[in-house]
Formats: sequence, structure tokens, C-alpha cells
Amino acid sequence: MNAVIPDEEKSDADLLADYVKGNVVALDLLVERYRQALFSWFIGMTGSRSDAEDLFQEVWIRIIRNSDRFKNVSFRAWMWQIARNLLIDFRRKRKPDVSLDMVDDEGDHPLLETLVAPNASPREEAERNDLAMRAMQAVGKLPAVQREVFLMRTQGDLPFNEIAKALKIPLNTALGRMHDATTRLKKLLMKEME
Amino acid sequence: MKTTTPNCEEALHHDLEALAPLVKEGFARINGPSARVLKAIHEEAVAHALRRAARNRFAFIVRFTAVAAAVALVFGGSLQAWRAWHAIKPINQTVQLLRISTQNSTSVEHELADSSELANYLLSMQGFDRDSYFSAPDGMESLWL
Repeated sequence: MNAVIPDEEKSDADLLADYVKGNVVALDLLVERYRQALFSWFIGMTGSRSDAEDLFQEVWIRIIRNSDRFKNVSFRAWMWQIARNLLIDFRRKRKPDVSLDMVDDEGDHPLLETLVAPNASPREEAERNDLAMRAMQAVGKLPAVQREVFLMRTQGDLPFNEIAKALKIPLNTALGRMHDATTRLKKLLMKEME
Repeated sequence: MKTTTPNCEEALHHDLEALAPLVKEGFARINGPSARVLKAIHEEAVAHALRRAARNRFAFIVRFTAVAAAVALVFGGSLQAWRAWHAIKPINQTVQLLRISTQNSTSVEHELADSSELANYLLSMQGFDRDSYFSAPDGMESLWL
């Protein structure tokens, strides 16, 4: 007997296949699944909310337009590869590198000041928010090559072999960049705490 | 540049366990993409699905037309071949008859040639030859019919 798998439990490739068959809800679910990870990565890499939104939208438009051509490989690796290619194009056209301290395109406030703390009033929440902001600031100070590996691992939950594949670098290079990123982050955060 | 080896992965995971939740928490506080972006993606998905459906319908019509044209071609070709075969059938029969009659006339000539040779042979056995045997003694007029 063929059990009907709920859309939420379906694999990425199955959801994309459903979309190709005409089920638009399947694509909405796929967007939702990677919404936070992909958007955070773009925020981390561009330092600008509006640029991150543009790039996020462009990734999904490319996925939609090329969905017919998707072969049964890892959807996640494919999506990150598209994201990275778009980021490379973006860097070529725009600023060479940015950090999270930069001013947002839409306003005069640094991006980190736009962080939303759901219940900002309690003191604990404010402290956690502050720590998280410091961590993000530290990530923003990492060199771009280290930052992209670090964010793919932490935000995208990608294993190192998939990171290496998406960035087209050897596995050891990916591990090396991650090692350098964590070492640098620890130093930066300790410095912030002092 | 010196890189780490997979052996360092354990130490790396240890560092990540401490750092990743903090960074993740920070990024989680950033609202995701705006509703406008999500709506634009959804609209593009709908538009593309509609375009694909229209393309598939058109492709079906093209395929159906191609199949129908192929069937018509095979049927028409067969019909034409059948009609042509029936049109040349009487010609074939005439040709056949002509061939038979030609063969018959050839065999008669052949037979005649054979019989004159036999007559020559019989005459030569008796010490005669055809020209002297059928000639009148007073003249060279041949009696050969």
C-alpha cells in the first residue's frame, strides 16, 4: 500500500518534483525550509538587508526557472551553489567586501541595530541579545572566504563535504578555513568580553 | 597556506559547538526576508507553473499532430502503392505476353537452323555437299528451297 507522505516530511527533491508537476505549495514549503538559513547567509555575506533580500529572491527565481532541469542530486548543494554564484556576481558588480557593521541601504542605522528582540524588555533578553549581536559582529569581521564556510556550516547546517562541493574547493581547504574562522572568532569574542 | 587535516575535525566540532548556537541565535533575531520578497517568489512560482502547463499543452498538440501526420503519410503511401500496382498490372501482362511470343519465335528459328545442319550432315555422310547436290547438271542454279 502506498502511504501518502505529508508535504512537510517529503525530501527537498520530492518537493521540487511536486512543484514541477504543478503543485506550487510544494515550492512554498521548500522556500520556508531554507528561508532562515539562506537569508542569514546572505545577510552575513553582504551586510545589507536589501541586498540579502534581492539575492534571496534571485536564488529562488533561478531555482524555479531551472526546476525542470534539476537532476536527482542534492538539492541543498545545488541551492548553495546557485547562492554562491549569485554572491560572486554581486561582489563583482558591487562592493568587494562588506561587514555586518555597515550601514543598511534602507536606512541610516547599522544592520545590527535592526535586530529584533521579541521580548526586549527583560534584562536577560537584552543581555542575550547583546551577546548574539557581538557574535554576529565578530562573524562580520571574518575574511569573506572564512565567513562563507562558517555561515554555511552554522546557518545552512551543511556537512563539510557539501560545503567543499558548493564552493568547489578541496575538503581540507574547507576544514582549514573553518578552523581559521573559529580561532579568529574566539579571539574576537574574548576581546569583546574584556 | 597551511590547512587542517580531517584529524582536526574533532577539535573543530568542539569549537563549533560553543560558537554556532550563539551565532545562530544572533541571526535568528534578524527577521527573515520581507513578505514582499516571499510574495514575489510565490508569484514567480505560479507564473512559471502556468507557463509550463501552457507549454506542455502546446507540446501535446504538436505531438498529436506529428503522430496524425505520420499515420496519414503511411496510409496515403500504402494507398498510392496499391493503386500504382493495379495501374501497371495490365502493362505487366502485355509485357509478359510479348516476352512469351518472342521466346517462341526464337525457338522456331533455332529448330530450323538445327534441321538444316542435320541435312548437311546427312549429305556429307554420302559424299555430297549441299551446293552440288541441289544444283542442276547444266547450270549452277541452286534447287535449294
